[in-house]
This record gives sequence, structure tokens and C-alpha cells, in this order.
Amino acid sequence: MAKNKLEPLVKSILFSKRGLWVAVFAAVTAIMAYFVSQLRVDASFEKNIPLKHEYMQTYLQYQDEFGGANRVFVALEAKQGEIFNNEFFNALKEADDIVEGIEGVNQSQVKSLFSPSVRYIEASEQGLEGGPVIPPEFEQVDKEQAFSKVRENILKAGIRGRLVSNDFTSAMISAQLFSEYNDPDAELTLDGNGQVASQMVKTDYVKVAHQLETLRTDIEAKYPNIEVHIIGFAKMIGDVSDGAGNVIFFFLIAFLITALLVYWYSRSIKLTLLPLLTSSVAVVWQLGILTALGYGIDPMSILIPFLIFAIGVSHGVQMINGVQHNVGKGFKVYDAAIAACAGLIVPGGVALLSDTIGFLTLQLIEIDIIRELAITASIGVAVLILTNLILLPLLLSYTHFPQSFVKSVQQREKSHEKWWGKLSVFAKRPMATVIVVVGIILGLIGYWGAENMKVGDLHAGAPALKQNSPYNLDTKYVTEKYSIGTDVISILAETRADGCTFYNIMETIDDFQWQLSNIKGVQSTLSLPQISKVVNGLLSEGNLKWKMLPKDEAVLPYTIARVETSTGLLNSGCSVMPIMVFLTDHKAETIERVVGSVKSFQSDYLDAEKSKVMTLVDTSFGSLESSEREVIKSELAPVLDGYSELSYHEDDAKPELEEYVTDQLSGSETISEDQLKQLTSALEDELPASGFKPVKFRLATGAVGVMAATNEAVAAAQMPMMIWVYLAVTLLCLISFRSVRGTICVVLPLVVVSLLAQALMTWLEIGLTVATLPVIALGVGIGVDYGIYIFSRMVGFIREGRSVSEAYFETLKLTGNAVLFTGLTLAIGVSTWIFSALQYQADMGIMLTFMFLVNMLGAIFLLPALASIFYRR
Amino acid sequence: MFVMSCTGQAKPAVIAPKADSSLLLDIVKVSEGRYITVGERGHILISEDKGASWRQVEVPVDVNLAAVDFLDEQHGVAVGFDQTILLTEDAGETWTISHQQVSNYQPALFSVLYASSDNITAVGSYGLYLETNDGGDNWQVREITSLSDVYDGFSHFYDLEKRSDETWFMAGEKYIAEANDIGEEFSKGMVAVTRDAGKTWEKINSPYEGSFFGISVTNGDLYVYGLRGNLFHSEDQGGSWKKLKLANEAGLHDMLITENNGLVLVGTGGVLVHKQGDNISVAKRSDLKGRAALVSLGNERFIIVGEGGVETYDANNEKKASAVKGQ
Repeated sequence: MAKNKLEPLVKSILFSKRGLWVAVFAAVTAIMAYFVSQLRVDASFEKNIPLKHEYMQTYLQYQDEFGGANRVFVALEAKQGEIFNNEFFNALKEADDIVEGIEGVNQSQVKSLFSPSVRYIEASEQGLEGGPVIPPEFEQVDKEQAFSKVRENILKAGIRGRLVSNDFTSAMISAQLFSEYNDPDAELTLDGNGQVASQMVKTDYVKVAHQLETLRTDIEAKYPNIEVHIIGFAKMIGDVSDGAGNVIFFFLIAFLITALLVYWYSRSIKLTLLPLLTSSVAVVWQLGILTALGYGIDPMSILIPFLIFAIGVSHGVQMINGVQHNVGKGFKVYDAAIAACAGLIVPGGVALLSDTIGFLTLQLIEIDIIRELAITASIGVAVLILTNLILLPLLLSYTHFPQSFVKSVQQREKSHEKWWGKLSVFAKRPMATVIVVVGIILGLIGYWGAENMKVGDLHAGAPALKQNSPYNLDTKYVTEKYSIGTDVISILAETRADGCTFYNIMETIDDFQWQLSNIKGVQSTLSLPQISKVVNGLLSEGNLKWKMLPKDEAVLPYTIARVETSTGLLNSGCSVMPIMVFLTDHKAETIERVVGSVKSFQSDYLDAEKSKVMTLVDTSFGSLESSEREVIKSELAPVLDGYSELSYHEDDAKPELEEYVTDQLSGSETISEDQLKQLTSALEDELPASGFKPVKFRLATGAVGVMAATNEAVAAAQMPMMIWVYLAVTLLCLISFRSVRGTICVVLPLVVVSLLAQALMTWLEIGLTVATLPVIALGVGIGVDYGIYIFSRMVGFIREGRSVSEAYFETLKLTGNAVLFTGLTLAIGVSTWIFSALQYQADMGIMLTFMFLVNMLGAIFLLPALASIFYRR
Repeated sequence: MFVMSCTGQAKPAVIAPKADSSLLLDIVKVSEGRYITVGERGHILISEDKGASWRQVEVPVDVNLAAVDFLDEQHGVAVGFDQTILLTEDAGETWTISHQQVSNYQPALFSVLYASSDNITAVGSYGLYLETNDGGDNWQVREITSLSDVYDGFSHFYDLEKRSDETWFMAGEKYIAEANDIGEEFSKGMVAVTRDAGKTWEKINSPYEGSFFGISVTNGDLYVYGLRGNLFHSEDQGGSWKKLKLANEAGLHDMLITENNGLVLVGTGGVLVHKQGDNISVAKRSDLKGRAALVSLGNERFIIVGEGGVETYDANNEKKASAVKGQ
């Protein structure tokens, strides 16, 4: 091989001043280490959600009024019998007080049997009666009697299944968390206008989770007959971040195995320690830069530093391999290091650059947590270019190899040659053809499997945690015992001011609720019309024949007059009414069914409303020819569509239909001014007061609303992300090889592996989620490294005029060891994650191990086989 | 007086998997093993296996249906809100709108009697009284002035039952029976009778100042029941009444007399009162969902409908269960 042109440059800039450079690296590392000591875990709910998604706009708009998705449920279970005893009620009261005291909890939204807003109503001969579920005289009266009264009130208040379990063995405290709140400890200061400046602090979810855990231990210790179950995002994130701490353990195991492997490979303690050292330096820099930029580390991206370490070691192995090889050829260590550095800085740089770009494509996904992961990973890989392509050879140049070591390297290389000879058969036909055919078949199988890949969480409970984790067992308990759970999606019916006093508006919401109730996977639903019906029945002496939405618009407002906004069923202007839908699970299919049903109801409803208006046109223009009426209708249809898209959000922002139609159609060439007047007066007089399409159903709040948006964002991001990552990889290959054929040889095996990886997700029931989506990009970005290392050498030999199989044989002699090793060290570095207590880490571990190993196989077998076909003479 | 049927705004009922657990208000036996129940949102469901399974049929309206009655095994009528009257000629498989009058007030029909192949009579809110004498081709609204209150207004007519072709009884909401000079009003639960197949009606002596939700008629006996668990029995066509104590204060919506001459009543809060001689047992649905109507399957077994949809109820099991509990 020709002497590398870069050598003099590398020597003069780097190696001649190696002492200085090493000192600079040491100094920077010290600074970074200081920053690392400031590193904090940073988890927030908003980071997990695609804030720009249509559904999340609804979520953000209404989270203050109706509470977002960020609820915590504390369920107390009576171990023996029912809840109706003193011990249980004392415990419930105590737990309720503790929950209200937790910082970040919205006290006005804490609900339990003890909440004043939890009331019942009933009919009597005097009319309606009502009161708090736990009567004021509860403390004084005979307990036996009091408890049976409470039991009855629970049923009358309709909170069975919501605040009390269906079998009366458990009761719940439901609390809403602020995403930020006024800091009670902050000193009051005045702002420029003389107002008390608000001191908002972000809710610390991990802290909330720990306080809830303390609640659990305290209550269970004080009341031996009571067991506590806690679910909700904050608790989940607490458990995840506790579990995330365990990754240190996996890191240590991976570190040890990697060290042993590198030692076995290099047969030298020095050569083993140096790549481990430089890779660790890279991790320190990565975390340091992250902190310096003001980021914390999210439990979701806590694995990334370990991934960087593994990538670092794998590139370090290439460097050691280069130095060893050169030493074996008789070079002095110093010169061997320069040659290795000059030889690897381009392919290594390209490989690492492609990793960086692979990670950066994740920026396209509008979910902050993935973006942070992308930044964390990009920084890490970029840093590796400095630490493992520059610092490592500099350090290696200081080492000294005894003659015996040089001999053994030479011997080993000789002994490996027979293996490489066998492998090079794959770069020659007919074997190459066989391999390519196998590759095509695997690609097809992968494609078929990838088609069936599911989006979203495929299992019940919190997907980040294992099925048998305490959190998911608690989730299971709550979903089994109650009619609700955290799997709730709320659809918001936006309508005009005082919308709840119009019959056809309430009827539409009611019809909608009934349609949702009938979807498979819907456990129960709740909305305002339901309350109106119950109250109307009670107003008519409890006669069930009157349990219906009152059509009489004098009666309708009366039936809901007592429903307070704290129920979450209406806003103060009665212009927004949520329909809460409680699901049995949050599997992607269930969510899709609900979302699909909402969308189909919307469009059916719009069609029905439109046809009403069209009928009106027919009747009021009865004197016209039908063809003339059709002209009016076809002009009117798009105007109606436009009107139905207008939001009711600002109470007076939406014009009346007739005004809007006048506005849109005046000056029309086909409709005369008189006709327009006739049309608008018909609209004004004949349509009900609540107008044309008076309700707009908006998706969605609630935990499942967030999931629906996330699933859609993830599914939508997948294709562009893949396109970008492949574009980036292809472009880098084109630049570095200056060969279309070569680029195809490197990229095609990657495509096969990407497809197989997606198929693997189908077979292992791993859904495409916020956690697994980045893995696919990472797999491609890192997987291309092998191909780059192999092909950058091979192309040189081919250009020298060697046959493909000879070129491949020579390449293997140079770098075969290293490539195999790279694959192994990377795979080992991530495979220990499979045993993580956190499900998403285990999933990421499985996926990455698979992609690293199979990409290596692709580079060793498929790449040369393709080359032998493309570089035919 | 002829009333034009206005069917322009009728929406057909939605076929829904959970229709059998929606609010159902009346149930009737059509033929051996075949039962039909009606309820909210235009739901009509048919069982051909004594209530074990239910099948919802297409209905051209989605208003709440409150009552159903059959002349024979084929001909039936169902009534509900918006003065809706539906007819079937094929044992309930298909239904057509015979009459409907949509308005913003609440003209509801609560009970119907398929008296003969010509006459169908339906009664409902605010004294609404509709009849046909040509099998449903033409409907007439009648104001039964003999049943008005002291101010010539009307209370709701809730239940219409037939003893013979000529003699029918009706029960309903309390009405203001008397008012004195100082504005005091005295109300009575409505009980009325016709002895000429609906041509003329007269009030009969009412034993209660509150509302009645239903009336049950046998050859010799009359039972009226309603608000706050009140049940009255008359052996002389309503000339005198005896209050039957039931140890229950929940409103009673429907009653049947078993083959052993026991009384079974259902009502608000899912209450089920079983009176066998002096033996009275009161059971409630554990979820307190109201029970609206019931039919007998024989041998102390019933199909009950209400807020929780349809359920089959075996009184024998309940007795066993309570016997076990009592030990």
C-alpha cells in the first residue's frame, strides 16, 4: 500500500508536539470532569410529548382548565373485606392530607371521598336533595349507620368505579400535578410594575415519586391491614429513574468483558487500558459538554454514554490493530502510531461523522426527549473523533513493545491468514452469487416482517417498565378494580357560549359518547349530557321514562345547573365539554380505534349537517330549476366546510353562519345578490339557534391522548428519518470512496439489516416508540462503520488492479481482526442492557445488539459478494 | 282531527354492540321463547332464546322508546318521545313510522295498548292521548277532558292496561284534584277507567297523593304503584284500596303476578320486591341501576330491563343465596 499522504501532516501537527497535545487533552478532561460533577437527571412530562402535534395543541390549550394527562392515583386497598371501617377511613384521610401537601400537586384538583366537591344527588317528594358523600355528622353518629350511609352515597354520587373500587375493597385519591408551580419557599420580590414576581419552579417528578413512595411505606407501616397502590406519570418516571441508576452495574459488567476481550485481542495490558481510557475520556467530555450547554441527562438517554463508550472502544481496536500491524512490519512504535493515525483518520473520521449525522437526523422528530437523545449522542460521537482518532495514537506512541510481542503479532497474523483466505471465497463467484441471493431473500423476509411492525406500546401498563415491575402490578390492580385508570383519553367538544343549554348540541355530544362507548377496548365514558339525563329523570320523580336529554330548552339548563366546573365536565362558559373515555389498555390498536371513531363521527356529523342545509336550499329555492339549485349548492358546500373548520375558542371569534356565508359569497358570479339574501335569511330563520355544525370535537387530552399524538408523531417521523439517515450515509460514502458502485456495496447490506431489525420488532412484539425509533437510526449510523473500514481499504487494492477476492483477502489481513472485534465489543457493550429492569432499555439492548452483530456479518459476507458482482472485469 | 306525520328529521337508530346494556324501558313476550325489549336511542332488541342472547334490529328513529305491545305473534307497536309510534307486522323484525310529531317541547308517549286489529291507543306526557281506528293509517289526538285537573291541565299518563276488550285502566302522575280559596292545592295520583274501549274515561277514587308509575290488572284485582314504594290493592274496581306494606321506599316502575299468586315489583335503585303472602323480600342490584320492567319466564325466573340493560333473574337462586348468607 502506498505511503499515506497524510503522514507528514499528522506528524508535524500532532506527533511532533505530542507532549503539548496530551497536556491539552488532560486539561480539557479536568474541566469537563468538573462539569460532569454538576450533572443532573432531568425528566419532565412535556419532553415526552410532541408539543407541535395537533392533539397536543388541544392539550396545551386546555390543560389548566381540565387538567392535562399528568395525574397521580393513590389507591388504598383493604386487605380484608371492604373499606367501611375506621382504620381504613383514617388511613384514607391521612393519605389524602399527605397528597395535598406534596409540592407540585394542584390542591383544587385532589379528589377522594373526603373532597367537598364529591357529592351525591337524589330525588325526593320535595325535589332534589344532595350533599357530600361523607356526611357532616359522620364523626358523631353511630359508625355502623354512618358507613352504610356513605356506601349508599357512593352509589348515588356515581363514583363507584372511579373513587371507590367496584367491589368496595379499595378507595382512591386522584391528584393533578402542575408542570410548574409557584415556589412557596421563594422570597417574595416585586417586579418592575410593583407586582409580586412569580417564582415558578418546575415540578420535580422524581421528588414527587419519592414522596409518594414515602407515603406508601408510612401508611402501610401505620395501618397493617392496608396496602397502597400508586400509579401515574410522576410515579412511573420516578421508578424509571431509580431503575436507570442500575445501568452503572451493566456498565461495569460490559466494561470488564470488553477489557478482557481487548486484552485477549492485543495481548498487552497497555494496549488494553489505552482505548478504555480514551473512550472513558470521551464519555467525560460528552457529559461535560452536555452540562455546559445546560442540558441534564434524561432517564431515556442515560444509556447513550455507554453506547459512546462501546463505539469508542471499537474504534480504539481499529487503532490498536493498525499500530500492531505496523509494529509487526518492523516500524518503530512512534512511526507505527503516526502511520496508523494517518491511515485511520479519514475512514474513522468518516465513520464517526456518519454516526453523528445518523444521530442528528433524529432532530427531525418533534419530541424533545428524542432530540435530547440525539444531541447527547451526536456530541459523544463527535468527541470520539478527537479522543480515539487523535488522543489514542498519541498515547500509543509513548508505548514500547518488546521484540517478543512483535514476533507474536506476526505469527498471529500469519495464523489468521488461512481464515481470511477462506472468507475471501465470498468475494468470488459462485459463492458470491449464493450470498447475494441469500441477502435478497433475507431482505424480502425483512420487508414482509417490517410491514407488520406496530406503532406504539403493545402491552398494558407503563411500557418503560417490565410487566412484573411494582408499578405495572399497581396499574394492573387499579385497572382491574376500578372502571378507570390512567388510560384515559378526553375529547373536547368545543361549541358556542352556553352551548350546554342547546338541545341539539347536547344531543350531538350524547350521540358521540354512545358511539365511543361501543368501541372495543372502551371501559367506560363520562360527559355532561349523561348527567343531564340522570338529573332529568330525578326531576320527574325518578321515573326512568324521563331519563333522557330534555328537549325543552327551559328544562335543559336546569338539569345541569348544579354541575360544577370542578367535575371537569364543562368550562365556566359552558362552551367546552370534555368527553372522557376510559380504556382497558393503551395498545396502539385500541388508540387507533378510538381516534378513528372520533374522526369518522366528525365527518359523518359534518355530512349530516351539510345535508340539512342543502335540504333547506331545496325548500327555500323551490321555484328555481334543479340545475340552478345545484349551482347554489356547489358554491355553498366549500363555504360550509370552511365555516366548520373555524374554532369556537375565542367566544366571539366565530361569526354566525349567515354572516360568514354573506362574507364569502358576496360578489359571486353565479349567485345573485337577491339569491344570497334569500339564502342567508333562510339560514337565519330555519336553522336551530345553535347553528350549523355547532360542535367541533378536538382530540385530545388525557394520558392516552398524549400517546395517540406520540404514536402519530413517531409513525410520521419514521420515513423521513430513514430517508435522511440513508441520504447522509450515502453522501458520506460517495465523498470518501468517490464511487457509486462502492457506495451501493456498503449501503445495500445496511438496508437489509434495517428491514430485518424492523421485522425483529414485529416478532418480538416491540412497538415503534419514542425509545425504539432512535435505535433504528443509531443502528444504521453505527452499522455503516464496518463497511467503511472494510471498503476504504478494499477500494485501494481494487484500484491497484487486484481482483475483488484478492483485494478482500488483503483487506482482511489488514483489518479483519479489527472488524470482527469491533462488532463484538459493540454488541457486548449494549447486550448487557437486555437484562435491565427497564423494558425500554432491554428493548434498546436487543435491537442494538442485533443491528451491530448482523451489520458486521453483512459487511463481512454481503459487501464483498456485492463487490464481486459490481466490480466484474 | 288529523295530524300530519313529520318524519323529515328522523334519524335511524344506530346498531351498537352495547345496545343490550343501554337504558331499556319495556319488555314484552311475543311468542314462545321470543321476547322484545325497547329503550333509549330507538333501541329495539329481540331474543329468541328466553333472554339468553339479544339481537338489535333496525329502527327508523333514534328517539327514546318507552313502551311496546303486541296484538298477536306478528303485529306490534312501540311508542316513545316525539309522539313516535312504530308498527311491525313481522314479529318485530322490521318497524315503520306510523306517526311522529317533532317539537321542542316534550310530547312523549309512555304506554301503548294494541287493543284490536283496528284500535291502537297510546298515552303519554301532559295528558297526551293518541288513537287509531284503522290499524294505524290515521291517528287522532284526543283531549280527555274528563281526566284534567282543576285548572283544566293534565298530568302525565304513565300506564295503560286492559282487563277486557271494553274495560281498560290507566295510572299516572299526581294531578291537582282540589284547590281552595287560599291557594292550597291537594293532589292525587291518577287512576282512571274506561268501560267502552276508550270512548269515555272517568277518574276513579285515588288512594295516594303522590304519583303512580304503573297499574296491574287481573280479572278481580287492581294494583297501582309508584313513588316511594307505594303499592295499593283493590278488589272492588277501585272502590276501596288497601296499602300493601313492602319495607321499601324506592319508586316502583313495574309489577307482575307470578303463577303462585306472588307479586314481584321492580324499581328505582334496582330494587326488586317479592311478596308471597305475608313473606316479603327486598333485593337490590349491587350497582343500584334502576329496573324499569319485567316479564316472567315461569318458575320464578324473570327477564328484567332497566338502566343496566337486560338481565335474567332467578328468584330461586336469590333465595338460596340469602339462605346461605343467613346461616
